Amino acid sequence: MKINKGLMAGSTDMLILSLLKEREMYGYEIIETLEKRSDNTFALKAGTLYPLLHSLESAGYITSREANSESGRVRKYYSITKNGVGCLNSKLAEWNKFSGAVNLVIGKGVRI
Amino acid sequence: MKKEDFLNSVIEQVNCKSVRAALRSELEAHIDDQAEAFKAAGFPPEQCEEEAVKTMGDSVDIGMRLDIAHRRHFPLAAVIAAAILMLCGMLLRYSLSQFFPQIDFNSHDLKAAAVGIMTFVLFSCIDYTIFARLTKRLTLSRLQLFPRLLSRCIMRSLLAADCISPLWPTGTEV
Repeated sequence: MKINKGLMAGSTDMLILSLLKEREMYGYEIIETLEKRSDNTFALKAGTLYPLLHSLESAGYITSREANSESGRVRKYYSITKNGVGCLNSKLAEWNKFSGAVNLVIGKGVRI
Repeated sequence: MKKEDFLNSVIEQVNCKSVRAALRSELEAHIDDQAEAFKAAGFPPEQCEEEAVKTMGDSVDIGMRLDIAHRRHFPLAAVIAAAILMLCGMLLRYSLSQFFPQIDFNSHDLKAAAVGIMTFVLFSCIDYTIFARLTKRLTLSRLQLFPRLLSRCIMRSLLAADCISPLWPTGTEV
């Protein structure tokens, strides 16, 4: 089942920041991990990911460094900053409130 | 679409020249990773790159979004703060000039403040990353010039001190 783009758009930065909180990752790795973890539900396109990563970097939520991979390819690794963790926490709180409210409305009665 | 065409199309949309090379290599590495994954999945090798480019999405759209991400923002808050501080300083000076005749306050001060603010605004519009790029070029040219300049200086001082005689004829001595 495909997920509506509108539903995905609001939470993409939260998902990326969550992954980067675990460890530093490069762009392709982020897409792969997101796809695997979500059981192929979140298939993020590179065209969506990179502009978002660069915006997050400009905002100071993530930082990057270039390093050579085992294959000799130069990769840009992204990691979360202190500001990024703060932003993630507020987004998670917002998400929990939102999903809890949606569940209450649709009758699941889950109160966070 | 071929990888090179895709990358060129993306980069063309990005106005900030200083980030173009890094963006290009990042996207190229992504396409190569994807192509490798397709190859491992059993795709015909000649199709892997093209398929990897397809997964990237629309090149113009990506380029435009990246351009927005790298658009420079005018530091309005800093300019306003500087203007307020300057105004406070001038008000203080004006008030002091009313009590202490030795403190002079005239229209030149207002003009100087206006010039100061304009200079501040002008400098905030400059892309400072240009200096980072120029540093490398300037250092290289200096390194090239330095041995020549040094040897010339040594030669001149030695000649002036009569320590050595020039190898070329200096006059019409017989």
